[in-house]
Amino acid sequence: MEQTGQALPATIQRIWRASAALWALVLMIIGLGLIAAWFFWHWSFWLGLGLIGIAIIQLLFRLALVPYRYRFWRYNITPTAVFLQKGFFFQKNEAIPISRIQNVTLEAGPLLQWQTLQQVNIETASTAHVIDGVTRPVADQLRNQILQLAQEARDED
Amino acid sequence: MKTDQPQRLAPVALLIIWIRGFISWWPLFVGGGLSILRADMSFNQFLLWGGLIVGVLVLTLIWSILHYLRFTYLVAPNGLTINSGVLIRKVNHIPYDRIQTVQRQQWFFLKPLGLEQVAIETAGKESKKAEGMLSAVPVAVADTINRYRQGNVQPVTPDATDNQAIPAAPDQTSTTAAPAAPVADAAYKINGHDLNQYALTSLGFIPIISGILWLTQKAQEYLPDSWYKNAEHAITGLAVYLIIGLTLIILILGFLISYLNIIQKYYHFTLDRTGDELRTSRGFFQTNTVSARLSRLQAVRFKQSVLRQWLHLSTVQALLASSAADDQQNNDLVLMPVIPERQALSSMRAFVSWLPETSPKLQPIPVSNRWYYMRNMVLGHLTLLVLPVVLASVFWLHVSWWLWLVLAGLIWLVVMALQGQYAATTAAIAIAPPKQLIIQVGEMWTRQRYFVRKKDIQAMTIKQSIWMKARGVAHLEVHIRKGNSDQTVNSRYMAVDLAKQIMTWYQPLPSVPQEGDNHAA
Repeated sequence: MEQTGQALPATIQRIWRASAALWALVLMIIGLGLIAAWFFWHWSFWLGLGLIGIAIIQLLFRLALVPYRYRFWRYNITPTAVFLQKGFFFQKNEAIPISRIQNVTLEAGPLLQWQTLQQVNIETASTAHVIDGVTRPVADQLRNQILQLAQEARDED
Repeated sequence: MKTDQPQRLAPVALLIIWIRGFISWWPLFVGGGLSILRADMSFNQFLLWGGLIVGVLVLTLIWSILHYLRFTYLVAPNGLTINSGVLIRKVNHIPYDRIQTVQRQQWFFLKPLGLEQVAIETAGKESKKAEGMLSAVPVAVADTINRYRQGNVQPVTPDATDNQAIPAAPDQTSTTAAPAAPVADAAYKINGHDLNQYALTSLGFIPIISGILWLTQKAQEYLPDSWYKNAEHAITGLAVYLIIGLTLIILILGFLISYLNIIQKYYHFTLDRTGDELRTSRGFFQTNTVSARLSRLQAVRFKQSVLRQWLHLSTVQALLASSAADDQQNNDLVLMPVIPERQALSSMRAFVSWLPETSPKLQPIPVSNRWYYMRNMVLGHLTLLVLPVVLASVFWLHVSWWLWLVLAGLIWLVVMALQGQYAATTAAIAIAPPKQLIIQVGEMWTRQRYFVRKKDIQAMTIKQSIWMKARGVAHLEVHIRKGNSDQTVNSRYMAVDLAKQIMTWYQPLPSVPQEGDNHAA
């Protein structure tokens, strides 16, 4: 399936990398704690080592996947629907008609704030969809665009 | 009955709240009961348990009294207002047009008092509990609420609703007599034969039998050892007969409990439609009436267990956008307990007019893709259940044990493969022109056919791995609102062209038709 729609800003890759690194850090700290537990209370040594191993493997895996994840992430907002597409090995295409959208919220954690990006959450009566991160002006514009289209769609019903 | 100022619940509500309060402490009572049965109980222990139980009874009573005194409700022309809360005072105002369902439950002992419990649900997503719960109120309350609700087609002004209420009944003066309800546009009442058939073909006895088996096992632990020894002496020779007899008794008992339970639950089941309002009513010991607005129906589901499939019987359920419906654990409202498969659709059309006259021919999963279902079932159960159990038993149990476990594991995998086969042959999908989707899935030996309007599909997803792409296969996920959450109906391993065709029907993709790149295989 060819790519249609907008790509995410390139800076989102930094956030994915940073988030992978943070996760690895947290797992490693717990792993070190377990090794300390081995030292003081004779817990199994493999527990801590295993966790650190998992931390490193997941870090490498996620770092390796960042360009791929970026390459295949697309969003497309038309007057009738929001389309999200992600993944290549496991491709996922979501269609959310504008008229079903109940709410759009913008959200930015510390990492997204650091890159001045914002996550766009789109909610229907039963599902939630996420655009991982877009620049702030785009986020505002998307929200207004979606909400305005949703209003029009509802008026027509 | 005055309606212009907040009302308390009927005094019997206090009792109900109290009973409900201390029943939630049931582990304490069971624990206490079991330890009293034990012979080696010291007097101090007895005192401790007794004290605990009395303490809980007293505390829940005090709490219930406070709760009761703080709880008032007002049925006003512009909405229902509920004041509640012991420590944190809460005022909940529910406008009538926000109400999704009104559920009335009347235990037989409340009938002579003209009282019932009323649960009011809105479409709010936040909580699992009903927004408005009136534990014991005169039946006129729900009648009034329903009348306001039906009158809400016009903008809500006190005058308009009052004028509408007058012709229906001389307003809130009658407490027991039902107001002259408008004549139903369609009505159905279950007959004895159908009810019997429904109860006989229910598979509800399976969990009940497992429950009895578990209980007998537990009971053995608590019987004094001396009983056992005596019994063993007396019956060594008879053991086989005893086991067979016991099994028979458990089977019959389980089946009987399930049968009677269903009979009492669906006793006098009725379904009727008045304008846009669907209403079901049922129950012997507890009359349970649910009113729901037809326009809020999210989907209709025809459900058949394997047993009912053989007998060509079907159950019809409605998926609602609120959690008040059938049972506590089941959000789906039963519209028809049992109906011959062939009449199901045509009979339901009298109640849900948007259903198609005849079901179009469903597109099954391509035969070449069916083995994926079996493969996934077997692999999933092998890696997540059978292998871990067998491995654990190899480590910790004696050889004689794990040989049996391997055998049981193999049988389990065969059963799961059959289940996969069932799911694969059942799965099917079709667009019913112009605006409906029909999806059929097989889960747990039950065939479920969903009828969903396009406007009630909240979102749609196509999933495809790169290997599936090479074979022209895709998963289609359809999201429907059910209760307060999402029900995803999956059509797995379907032909990608059909999946895309359905996606395009739902929301035309913005780009050029994306054909030609997935016929590599």
